[in-house]
Amino acid sequence: MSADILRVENLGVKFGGVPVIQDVSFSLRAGETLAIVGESGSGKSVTALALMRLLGDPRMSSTTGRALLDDGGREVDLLTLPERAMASLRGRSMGMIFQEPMTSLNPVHTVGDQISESLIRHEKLSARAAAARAVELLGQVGIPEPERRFASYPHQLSGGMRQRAMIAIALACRPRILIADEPTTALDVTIQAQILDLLRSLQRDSGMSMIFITHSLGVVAEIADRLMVMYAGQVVEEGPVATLLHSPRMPYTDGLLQSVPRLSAALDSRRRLTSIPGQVPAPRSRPAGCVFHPRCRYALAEPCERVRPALEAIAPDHHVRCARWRELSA
Amino acid sequence: MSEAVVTSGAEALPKRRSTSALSRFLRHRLAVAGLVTLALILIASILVPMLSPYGPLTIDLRNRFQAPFAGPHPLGADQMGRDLSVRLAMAGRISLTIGFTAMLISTAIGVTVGLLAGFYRGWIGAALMRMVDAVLCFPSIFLLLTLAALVTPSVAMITLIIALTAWMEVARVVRAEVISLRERDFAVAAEAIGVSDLTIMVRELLPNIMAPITVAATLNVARAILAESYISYLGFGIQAPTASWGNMLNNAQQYLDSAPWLAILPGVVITLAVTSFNFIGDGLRDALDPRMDRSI
Amino acid sequence: MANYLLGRIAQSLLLLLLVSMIGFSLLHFAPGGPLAQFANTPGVSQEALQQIAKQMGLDRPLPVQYAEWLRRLLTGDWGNSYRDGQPVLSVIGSHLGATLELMLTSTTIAVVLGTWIGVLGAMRRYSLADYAATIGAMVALSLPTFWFGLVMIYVFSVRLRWLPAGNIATPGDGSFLDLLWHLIAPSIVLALVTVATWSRYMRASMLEVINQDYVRTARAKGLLGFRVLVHHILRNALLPMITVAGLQIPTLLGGALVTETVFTWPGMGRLFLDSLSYRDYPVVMGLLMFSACMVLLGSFIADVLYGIADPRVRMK
Repeated sequence: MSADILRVENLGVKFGGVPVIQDVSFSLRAGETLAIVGESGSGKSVTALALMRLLGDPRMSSTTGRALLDDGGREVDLLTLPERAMASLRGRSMGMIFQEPMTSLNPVHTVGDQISESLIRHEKLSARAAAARAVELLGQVGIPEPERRFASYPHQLSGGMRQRAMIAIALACRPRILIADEPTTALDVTIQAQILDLLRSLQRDSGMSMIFITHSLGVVAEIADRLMVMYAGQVVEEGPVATLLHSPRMPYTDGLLQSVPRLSAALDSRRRLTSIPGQVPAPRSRPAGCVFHPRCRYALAEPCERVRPALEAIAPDHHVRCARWRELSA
Repeated sequence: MSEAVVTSGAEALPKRRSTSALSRFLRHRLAVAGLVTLALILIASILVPMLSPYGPLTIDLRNRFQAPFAGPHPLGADQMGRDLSVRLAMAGRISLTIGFTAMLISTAIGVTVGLLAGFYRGWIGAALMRMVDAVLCFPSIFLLLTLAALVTPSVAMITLIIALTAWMEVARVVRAEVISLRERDFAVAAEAIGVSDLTIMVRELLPNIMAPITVAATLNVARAILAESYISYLGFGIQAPTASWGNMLNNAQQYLDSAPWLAILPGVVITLAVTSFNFIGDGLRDALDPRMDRSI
Repeated sequence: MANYLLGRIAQSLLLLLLVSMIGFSLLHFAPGGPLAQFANTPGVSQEALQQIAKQMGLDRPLPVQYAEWLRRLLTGDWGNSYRDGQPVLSVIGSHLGATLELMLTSTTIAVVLGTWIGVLGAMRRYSLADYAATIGAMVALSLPTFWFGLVMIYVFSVRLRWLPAGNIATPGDGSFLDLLWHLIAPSIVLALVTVATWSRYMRASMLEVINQDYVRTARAKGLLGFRVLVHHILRNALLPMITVAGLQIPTLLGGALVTETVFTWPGMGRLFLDSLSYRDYPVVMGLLMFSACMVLLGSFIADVLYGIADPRVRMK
């Protein structure tokens, strides 16, 4: 088993005093893909932005815990690093791509310039060398006629092409970690598959680790090694993808799996698609006890409504936050 | 006026939630301050001439150029010893009347043009809006002065001229609102029933755009008071012996070294009055239509 | 871009036509009409007046008169000043320099200062400085420019004696420093309104851009704050300001008129007022048309520049 490249311990984020994510702990190994799954409002994106320190105005948000990155043999805490040092990590050791390819690129600069910018900043390349490298990168992310596209503006590209350009920007300096925040959600299905393929092959070539945020379990099965399920700002289950998809221990994970439409199920009229009733509570109105209990069909007055369960290791590589996992798996 | 009154004092205040328009307005501290200031100016304009022993034209040669708080005239006296407080109050009556009346006329013109242009979006609308654009090509003070030089400068004429050069903004606002309203279905529904165009405009559209009209009208008062001060200062507006805030400044420049208060006081009063109207307009914008674009 | 330009040119020409109609109407429906000057001259008989009217073609139908007037306008024959018989265009030309000098200086001040205030306001939103700038801008837009000029003269010329009370230069002293010294007060006065307007629009535009996804992308690349601000935020936030700048020209021209009067500055504004006092209608009309043309030209140039600066328009 390879070493951890990133270890997140008890990460918490508050917006204006209200906890948005709490007690998030996980680790990421070199070369692996960790998928973070959850409904909107579960805190997946906040987790990612907190690691990149891109949460915006520091007067509005506060972060607690540790996020230890192995930055080429040197261990740094992403959460306490001075802003200047953090800025030199961003784009160099950690790259990030976002959900909206239509708005994530600057409309007034050419795609090529936006890639070169990163290379000039971190690798101290000359403008000419950076441009040559940018053209190369455009080719690597599968953009046809990269020399011509180098001079294109974002509005001249399709959504899929823009997302490829975003990937080129994020990977320009060969980061050790790529954080992809729902990179395929805004794209057509066929384009989605192409982008996933691209990310997989780029990962294979570079050996980077990837944190892949999505709300689609179908995507998870395709791309991830491990899966972390988040609910209402907490990690509720975490483990190898195969284990979680086949024998989930947390009722929420199970519920998510039940609500995935499958072709076979659709053809078989006896199996009905079930959805989890209710919705994710807002950060201000999270319930006492287990945060999931109001929507959980296995919830009991005792202990679920009173005691907040801890994240428990039920196997060396499998963690669950549920007071009743033993009874339920029996 | 040459001034585009575009700022918003409210915009810098954090967003707040409130249900009633009145309480939203009252929470807009600057607007309330404006309202109070304006009330004081108005009361002073009415009462001071009634209470003062001096008339606006009473000449008191012994106290020529009396400084404020330094003699019988509380705010000082001008080159002929006329009481400045009484003159400011009399001028206030004139300037505020002109501001208010010009606002009424210009809003009426603007609303009419805007309604027509928004309702008949074919060539009538296009022609009307091109006309608005064309008038806006002339710097308004050039237009104001030209018109003022061509007519006999009575209070009524000056008011009319100011109104004639200040309706374009209202027309644009109203047209934009009408167009966005017409996209929604109730006007279309009324049309389908076979109600006349005039009825739709007056009964269906107009009541729904009163909020932006009120805001624009308030800002227009500010604009009109400024306009009056400009043309009167330049000598083409209200003529002596009638006092207006603008023409009180007309002669003041030559006494800047000996009697600076003659120039300073009327300017302060104009600024206070105009700022008040602008703040009130701003507060109304917040109070009447929280959705309205407050980015500027 | 070509289509955009052609459309914009057509639009400007149409507006110019409408503007000329308004100008012509003003001239003709003014009390006394084009003959006002002669009617006021003593010793001109009624017959002579009619004779002059015939010579000026006033007996012809209005559309014909308009066409003739427009033709002469387009060929550069804007008539002669009643005062000294000089061609109107050359009278305007001799006053244009002073006005442009004033307008350019104050625009530079306004753009630099206004951008700075707007950027600061947006970056430190709801801070004390932001509130102060907001209220300050509102007051600046509410005070009469000429009065601000008087206060400046009182403080800096009468009391402190630091600055001259008016004029473009000290007679006999042609030095650059002397010019600059005379330029300070009037250009600050003229800049006031523009600073206020510009800073408000700038702040709003910054706030629009600051939360855009591409700004986050720029930060995610590891760019430093200053580079993000200049290269990614300002570059976008300044785009709509090009249009705002174009729309400032009527305000600037109007402001220049007032400022020139206060500071006895020998520019177009002063010329306009003097001509009004002399009832020198050809010059008044000329200036009116000339300023409208400047406004049209200004907004046209702004639109063209916008098209060049924004690749989304340029590449169409």
